Amino acid sequence: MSELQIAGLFIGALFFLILMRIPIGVSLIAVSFGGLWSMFNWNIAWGSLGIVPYNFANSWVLSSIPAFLLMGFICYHTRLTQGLFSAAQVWLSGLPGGLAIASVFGCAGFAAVTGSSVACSAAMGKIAVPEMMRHRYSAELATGTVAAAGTIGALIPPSILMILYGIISRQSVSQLFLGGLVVGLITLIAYILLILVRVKLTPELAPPVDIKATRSEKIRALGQTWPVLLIVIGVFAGLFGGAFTPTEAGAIGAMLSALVAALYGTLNFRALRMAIVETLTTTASLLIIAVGASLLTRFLALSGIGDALSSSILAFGMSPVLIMVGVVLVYLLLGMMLEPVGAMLLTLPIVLPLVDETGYSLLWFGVVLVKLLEIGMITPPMGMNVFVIKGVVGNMASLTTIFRGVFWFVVVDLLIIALLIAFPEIVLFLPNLYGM
Amino acid sequence: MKPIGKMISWFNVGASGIAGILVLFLVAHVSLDVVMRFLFEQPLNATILYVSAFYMVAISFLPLGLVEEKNSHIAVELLVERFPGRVQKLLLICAALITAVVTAAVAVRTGQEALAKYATGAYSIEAGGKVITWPTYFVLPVGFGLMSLVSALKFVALATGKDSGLNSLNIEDPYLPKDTPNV
Repeated sequence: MSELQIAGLFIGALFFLILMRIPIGVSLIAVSFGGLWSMFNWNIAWGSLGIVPYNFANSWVLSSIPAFLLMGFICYHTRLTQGLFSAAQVWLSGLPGGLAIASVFGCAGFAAVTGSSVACSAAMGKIAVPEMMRHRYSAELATGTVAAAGTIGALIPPSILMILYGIISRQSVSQLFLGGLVVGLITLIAYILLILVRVKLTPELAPPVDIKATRSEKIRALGQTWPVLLIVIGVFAGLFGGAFTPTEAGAIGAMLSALVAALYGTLNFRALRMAIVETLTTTASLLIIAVGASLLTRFLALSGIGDALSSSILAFGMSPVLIMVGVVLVYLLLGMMLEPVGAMLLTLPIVLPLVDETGYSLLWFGVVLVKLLEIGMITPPMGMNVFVIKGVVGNMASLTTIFRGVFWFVVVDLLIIALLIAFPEIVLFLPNLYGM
Repeated sequence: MKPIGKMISWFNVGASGIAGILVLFLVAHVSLDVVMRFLFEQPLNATILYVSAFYMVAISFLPLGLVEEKNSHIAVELLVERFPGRVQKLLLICAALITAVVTAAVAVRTGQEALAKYATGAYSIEAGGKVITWPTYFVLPVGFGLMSLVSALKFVALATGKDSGLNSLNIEDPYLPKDTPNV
């Protein structure tokens, strides 16, 4: 059998196991072990099983993941971010679709304390969707906006996906965060423009809302955002000022959020315990996949299958742009079926060498990849953000309505992806400035 | 079988409890290191080693059993959901068995590794002197072992139709209703 046939065999086996509902981490471990055993010998396979898990987890950069997770979950369970939407609402309700725009701002603000888009959608959905429905916004616009805006959560730092990518591709997490910040802000602006245009064209989507607020009320509403502002400034000034490593920023962030929640009066034992339990289960469920992916990388590298795969794709003589379009399509497809961490860890062992060969920067690719995976969070049939919004709104909107609501946001997202591929400097400008 | 399930649940709660305390240690230790460095120009010794080898390894693997108990391991339901009920059950049984076998293998292998590290008394030389690291290796067989036990029990429970007795810890969410599946 040629190397390519063997590659096909093992990748096929991997996807078969995953589609049969075997946990992704377990599937990766099993297939990589089988691969190492059959291509080499028992000792190499058995030996890898003993070394790889410990060596992967024993990492300073990786430890920023539980730290940032704890920070986000503390903010979530102590409801620190509730002031964000009300402040944005008071300031923006005059605009066409003002409440929808306010919820996009709310998501972006929450994004700065959490690395998860599901948490963003859930928190903002609970607050903003009922408010929009009360003002007779169309269910489609109300739910679609929050589901889509949640994806900003994984783009604006901190971002768990970017930390994992940075570790695997050996890129600086701080630089990835800066690239993500740019793309997150572009997404924010694009979503706002989209809402403005849609409501201008179809005013019934969002009837004008008359919230009268005096100047002092507006200032007071702004004051309610202090918990988030304090945490964000503390964490990011340190991180991007070069004073903190990501782990330190995460730890200080978790500490700050607990302190702020205590001042805010919402910190209690139960909330803290829930935040810790969620931090643990999220970390462990990520790590077992990462360990499996690390074993797969070892198998692909040792056997030469990884090289054979990427050179056979390159042998078609396609231009780098065309290859990148192919990569984009693959991830859009994968995003429909897999959740982001699984899709990313499963494919990076094969895709990273390929991207490296095409001459695109790996830093740039990391940011584009996270954006792509986040589109997968809102596309059917597996759109986690949409499911979460459905869970939050209950009978107020059907799944189909929400999926219809995100349609135009996905179109905008695809335009952003095209823009990022055409002009990589958009992503790289800020990180390069920082790297100098 | 119920008492066994209950006992495994308690082990999971215990292992995750330790991991939970270590998360707090991680945050406190790193924060203290930052404060000491900036205010007194006196960083703590071996912070990176403690955080990576002692806290991170434990946080990563000790909760594996709990995650399995809560069915929170990341898996793809998309295709299987469309199958008829009996096929779904059969696949669930297979998945539990495969998970139990694979994680048991990892538990045994990492256990051997831990014993080898213990025998050589593995340590690391840091600024503050010698730090013994072999105990951190024992976390892996415990974590993978618990995950294997949980899925083995699930396998038996599914195959015989009996109650496994596993009673997973519930997570209350401030924003989502209780019956929201698997977020």
